[in-house]
Amino acid sequence: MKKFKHVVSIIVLGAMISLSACSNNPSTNDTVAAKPSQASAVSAESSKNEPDSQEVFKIGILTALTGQNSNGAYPLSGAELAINEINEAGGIAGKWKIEYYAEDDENVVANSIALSQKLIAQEGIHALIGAYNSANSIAVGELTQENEIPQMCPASTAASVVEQGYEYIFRIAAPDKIYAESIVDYLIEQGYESAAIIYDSSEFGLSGSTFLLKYAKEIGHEDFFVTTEVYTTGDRDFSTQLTNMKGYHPEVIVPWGWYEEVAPMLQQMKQLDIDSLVCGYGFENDGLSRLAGEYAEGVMAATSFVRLTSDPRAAAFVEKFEQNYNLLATKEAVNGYDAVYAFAKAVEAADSIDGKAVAEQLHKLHFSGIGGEFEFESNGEIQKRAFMTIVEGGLFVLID
Amino acid sequence: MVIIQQILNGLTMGSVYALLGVGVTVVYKSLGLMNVAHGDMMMIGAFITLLIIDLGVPLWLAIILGIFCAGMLGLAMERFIYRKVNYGIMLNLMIATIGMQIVLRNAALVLWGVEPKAFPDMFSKGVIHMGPYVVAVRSVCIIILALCLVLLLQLFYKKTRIGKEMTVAAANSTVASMLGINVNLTRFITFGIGSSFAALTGILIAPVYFVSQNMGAVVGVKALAAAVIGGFGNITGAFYGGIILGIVEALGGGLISSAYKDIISFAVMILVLYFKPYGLFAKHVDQKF
Repeated sequence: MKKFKHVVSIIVLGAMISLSACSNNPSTNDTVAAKPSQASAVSAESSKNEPDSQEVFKIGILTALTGQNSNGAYPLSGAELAINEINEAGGIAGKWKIEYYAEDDENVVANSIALSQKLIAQEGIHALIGAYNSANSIAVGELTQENEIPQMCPASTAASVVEQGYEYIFRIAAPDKIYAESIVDYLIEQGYESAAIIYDSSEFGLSGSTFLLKYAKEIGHEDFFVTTEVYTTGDRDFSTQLTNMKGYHPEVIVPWGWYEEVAPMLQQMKQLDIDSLVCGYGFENDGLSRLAGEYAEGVMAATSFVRLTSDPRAAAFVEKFEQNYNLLATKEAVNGYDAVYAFAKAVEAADSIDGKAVAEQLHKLHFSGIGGEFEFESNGEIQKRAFMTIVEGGLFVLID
Repeated sequence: MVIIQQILNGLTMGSVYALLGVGVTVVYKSLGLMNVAHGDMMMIGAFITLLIIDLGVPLWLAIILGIFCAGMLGLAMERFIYRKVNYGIMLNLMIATIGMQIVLRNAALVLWGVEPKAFPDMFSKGVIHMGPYVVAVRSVCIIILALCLVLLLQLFYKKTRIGKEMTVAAANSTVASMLGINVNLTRFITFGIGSSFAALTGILIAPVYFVSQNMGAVVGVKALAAAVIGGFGNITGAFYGGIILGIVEALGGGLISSAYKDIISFAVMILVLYFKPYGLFAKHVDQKF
């Protein structure tokens, strides 16, 4: 009996090993490994362009749906809306149907890398929308670079995203630089003389703080920001940082972080008798009012898309989006939507779904989206306008 | 000047760590079980209470019911999960609690989603001014409540019959059962108390922390640190450990840098363990209480 069990287990083990070896496609393995060899990449490309993949343009959508600060549902839904619209109209240029694969990286960089590898190797995507946060996008950028897959970031705003030298990464979200500059310009224009920054210790917050300080110095207001404080994502008690800032008596407090942290911060500011104006970036989401209630009134934020818009095309998008999804339309939703249409336009111009050709067209693209008219610079950066908004009645409205 | 304000700030966080730390210690005392999932019991307690509130129940009643339900959940966990794991092997127990942590967090994720939810405040949002210093009414209430609960627990263990039985069962379960003490029952009750404490803490901090599936993550770990600093197994030690941790964290953040707040608290824990391996207030090992 014992010998029989041994034999059976050896057979089962052998079967498992041989089956797993069979399922590994050698050419896709080459492209996913960290060996940036042009030859292997090109040979892998041709093996992917099999007859049936000519009719389907596969888009991978990698965002953070769960985990800390995960608002990936917005760009995902925006992209989904666009994909459905294009498919219903017969596909890209009537030739290519779009298939998409959505993954949740839980805002963990290791997951972003693993899931991108899966999307590239198993699903054979031709383009990627993602990741959500800057650190994750940068990590994935290395993979999309090696595998020549155009990647569009709908929400990563840190400067470093386009500073890695990757040619396949495109940022369709307005970068931190633009928001930082518009905030500083607005505050100085309004006559404020001192401000304090409180930022999240992630890549996102650090980038914002750096730009705020740099720009203030550039325009000759080096001592506008009297102090900076840091906090970690997930913190809910800011009494230490706020007490420190209070000592400097800033007229404005500039938070640069997500709404889950800024909401309790607002309440604690009131409790510590801090009555500075609050004006920052990263938290312009209806979640802020939902959590902070009355403390969110009068808070200002910079944004690149205002939901209550007078532009008919944008208003139509907002209505359609909000009807289909139980979410308010935000700039990330717009970016997800525009990203799909930008890809579609590039595929049409290249008349191919080959990653290299599409990326080339994206660099030359002049695009008119819901988020405005724009082009991508050579490093994938985008130029967009930012607007200042203020919370009134629980919603962010444009300040004229 | 700023130092005093920071100390006051630290007292707020400190009392939260203290309450949670006491809960963890209660469980450790009786079971020898270091409950890694304590922070997540807190989270589930807060969610359950929120559910009851959404059903239209008045706040005060919802809180009592929520704590009761969380206690019941704790009892169920002990009876059906932890009891199956041999109580003699601590490693198995710890792994079971780690598993519980994963289950609780993902259950919360599936049931309530990922966005944080607001919780109605049971304290006034007001502040007390003491000269130039400010302390929130809520903080004062939490500190007083924590103190009262710790005193109540001490009374329970020293004066009531069940409490004394639990003390014996924790010291030596074999001898205890020979003396006719129902060891299973004492463990059962301990878990109920521990879970109720966790739920109460969750309810107290929910108005500021908001209720989300990872609200117990960082605070849970700090509670363990508090229990360790105070002397593992020592209830009053855990209370003081929590307060000290909160104050050190606030002072470190205020005087050194707010970026290193978390590093400072864990560095302090390591330092304390280096010089006093049994914690600051640990009595000699065979007098764990």
